[in-house]
Amino acid sequence: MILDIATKEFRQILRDGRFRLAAALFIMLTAIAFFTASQRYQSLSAERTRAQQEVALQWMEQGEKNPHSAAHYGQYAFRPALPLAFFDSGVQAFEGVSIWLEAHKRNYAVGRPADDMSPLARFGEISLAYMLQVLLPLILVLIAYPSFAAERESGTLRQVMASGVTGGQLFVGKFVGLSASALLLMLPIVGFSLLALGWSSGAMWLSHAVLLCTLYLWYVGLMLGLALLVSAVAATARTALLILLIIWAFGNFVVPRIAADMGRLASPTPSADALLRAIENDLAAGIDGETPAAKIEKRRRQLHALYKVSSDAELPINIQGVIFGIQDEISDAVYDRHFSALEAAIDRQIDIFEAASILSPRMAVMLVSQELSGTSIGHQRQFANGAEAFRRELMGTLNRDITLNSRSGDNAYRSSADLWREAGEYRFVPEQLGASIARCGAPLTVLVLWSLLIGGLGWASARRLGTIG
Amino acid sequence: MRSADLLVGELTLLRREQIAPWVLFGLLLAMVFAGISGRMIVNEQRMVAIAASEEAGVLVDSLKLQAAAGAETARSPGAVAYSVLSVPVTKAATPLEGLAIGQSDLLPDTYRLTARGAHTFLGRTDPENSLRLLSGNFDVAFLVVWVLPLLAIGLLFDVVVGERERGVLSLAMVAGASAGRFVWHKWWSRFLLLAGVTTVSIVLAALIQEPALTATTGYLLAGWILTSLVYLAFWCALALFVSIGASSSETAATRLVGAWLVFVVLVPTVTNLIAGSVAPPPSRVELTATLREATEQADKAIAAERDRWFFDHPDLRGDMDRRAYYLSVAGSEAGIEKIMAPLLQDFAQNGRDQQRVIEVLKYLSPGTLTFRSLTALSGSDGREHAKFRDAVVVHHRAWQEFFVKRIESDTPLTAEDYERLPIFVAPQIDERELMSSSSIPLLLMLVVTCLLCRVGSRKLRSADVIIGTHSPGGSR
Repeated sequence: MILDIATKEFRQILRDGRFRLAAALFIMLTAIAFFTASQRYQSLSAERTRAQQEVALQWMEQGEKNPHSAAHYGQYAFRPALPLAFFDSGVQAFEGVSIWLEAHKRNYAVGRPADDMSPLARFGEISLAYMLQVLLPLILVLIAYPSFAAERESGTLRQVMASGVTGGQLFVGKFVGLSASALLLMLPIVGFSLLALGWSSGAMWLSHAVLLCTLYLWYVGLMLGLALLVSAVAATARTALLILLIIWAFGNFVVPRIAADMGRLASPTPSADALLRAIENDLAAGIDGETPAAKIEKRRRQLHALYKVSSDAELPINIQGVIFGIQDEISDAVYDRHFSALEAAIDRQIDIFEAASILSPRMAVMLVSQELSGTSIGHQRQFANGAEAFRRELMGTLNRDITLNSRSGDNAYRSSADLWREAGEYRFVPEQLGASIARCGAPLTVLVLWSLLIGGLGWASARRLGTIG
Repeated sequence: MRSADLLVGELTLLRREQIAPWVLFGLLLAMVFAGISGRMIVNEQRMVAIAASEEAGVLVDSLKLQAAAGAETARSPGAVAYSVLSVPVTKAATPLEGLAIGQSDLLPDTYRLTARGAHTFLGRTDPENSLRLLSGNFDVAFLVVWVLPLLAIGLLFDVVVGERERGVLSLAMVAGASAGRFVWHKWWSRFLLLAGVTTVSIVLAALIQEPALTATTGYLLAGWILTSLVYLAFWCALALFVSIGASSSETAATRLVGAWLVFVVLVPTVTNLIAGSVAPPPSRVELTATLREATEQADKAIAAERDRWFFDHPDLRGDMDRRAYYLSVAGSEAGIEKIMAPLLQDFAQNGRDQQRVIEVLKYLSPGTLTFRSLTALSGSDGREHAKFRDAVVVHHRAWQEFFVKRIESDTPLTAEDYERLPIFVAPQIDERELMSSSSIPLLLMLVVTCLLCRVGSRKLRSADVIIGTHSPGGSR
């Protein structure tokens, strides 16, 4: 019986002019999104690989110089374009792509693509993820709203129920039929994406892609369930349509903006100026209640005592290297403190955003999708933190070289390519899938809650349909 | 029955509806919240700029006193130019910026200048929650461009087809009344109600910004209200037009939502895509790599000199010649700037090219037209930022010259020199330019609105429209 209902529903939808028109528009936009995203991914990927190679070469070929000059010359870390970014570009446009790894300072990533976006960028970007998160649910609303409400108005529903079909069978049958039409729309996106992914990165990101497919199937099911539920309880098809459109518009456009603004108001991030000033103040004051000058002096005395000498010139090492090390130690601690506070402020904003997703499952899906595509704030942090860890290693290597291979006051000391090679270059390693999923706890919980709610109410409304007959 | 009575009757009916009054009240509250939120965002930026400016002022005063007392650092033009003094320059505030954030949270409204090259203040450096930037702002412009049309659709999608379905129009015709007049009164009552709430909301949101009560503010506010009302009128006219031709209320609603999706979501997004494709921005990654190469080239030329001071630690070598050190820094900076200048020009040019493309394509969507006009009236559409940036570049050149001249001639800074530091004058919003750029889109929308109304009016005279040639119940 369920299969019969599903088949009838599916055929009816395929004959529906609105569905055909919407499907044509959807497929056309999908093609545009796919084409532009894959073009952009290819050019970004090539550009960043080229730039990373270029700066690595510049580092290796910088010639002989004092290691501290090399430390100021530093290196650059470029965030690589991960393969699934072509599907969901996430927050990447609003995050910097390169970090200068230099002496004494932790820089944040700069060169946000958003800096060069057109003034209409705030209208959003057509990506494959956007198609599935925003446009597909609208099509589902348009095909599903009359399912029960229109049949109730025309009296068909009473006839169907009188023929012995239970409310549950009707609900599930319609759900399956509508799901089949939704799958029809999803098919090109999934197919093209998997093909493009396989072509660009083999099987490496396949598990991410499979989970993404599962996520979007879940979301589509959720949206269909919601549409059928509203159609089942609404007095008229018109009311069902209006309620669903309000839910769709608010869930996609209004709630995310309000949540984002509330987050900013509740937990503001400092300006670059304020952050810099706070860091400079702390650098001058030092850590653990000890000024940098006092700390340097203390270490100097310890070294003099250790080597039993009375001046820097008598030391068998170069004290400048030790001083640079102390300066880095202090600056690392100060930058850690301020960057942690900054991350905590942003985390509080994200918490508010996640909490608001209880009003909009799209927000929850968006967060999980970004995590699985490697384009979330979490991934950006992983890149930045990895680059910072490398910077500290790099500075340690250069300071050690000055300390051990030259004498205090030896300004003419030069190091060569061997040291630059030993210091190496930053290589970004994407995190394991498990680490990304671990950040999805809250949005996945929201999706489970939505599923339970819709499932429960759907069941209740199906039972109520049964009483019509 | 007089028109006024019909209008009052319609308004009374609307008041008795369950949802409509609450929706309109919700719009008012949302606008007020958006106004408060926008004000807080703009205020936050302003406070930061004011604090930075005051701090720089205190620093300059202190350096002036130190220079008068003969302190070495305050008298060294190199130390002051490259190590001690960085001065913030800030974009001029516009009265209604809080109503449309536009690009204000993406583009820098403050640059911190030193005598180093212009590449040091390329983009906005404030740490931000990228998820927030991706989601966009809940500002008044968002409510006008995105939400207001939905409310217009909600109130007017069945203005004709709904009455036809209920048989009211046929009844009116049989009774000898003009069905067209009846529809028009219904339309006007809803439009006026929405327009009234919109106007009051915008005025309230504007008052929340506490703007200075000047002629400019009045002009900008009038522009805001006029643009919003014409945009609202367009959607109301479209709703009437679609409602006349639709076979059922559902069909009318579906078509209007489709139109909203196309005009407010898809066309602006595709326009953005086209602007980015026609005028693709130069690569920031390549800019970084070039800067790196330029730095290396400049440093190589003076490497031996710079190594004497552990690159940037003249403090560790107190006995060395500071002037020679800062001459080497100035030389290095000039070398880097020479290589970077054309690239920076490319970025500025790209911004102008994208603006040009959008100026042409904006006529494809009333949503884009309105958004552009509202952000222009708020000074947050990118053009004001470009003007500001151009002025900063000119000022920066004067700033560099001021110091480099003294470094090269080894002239110590005096207390009087601190009074002669170049002063930045931020460009103000140009009302005349705004008027010419906003009036054409406004007129165009008005013409389209009038056309839709006129065609609708003609169709309303036809009996087919009144009685309906389609069977009710939708297309499924």
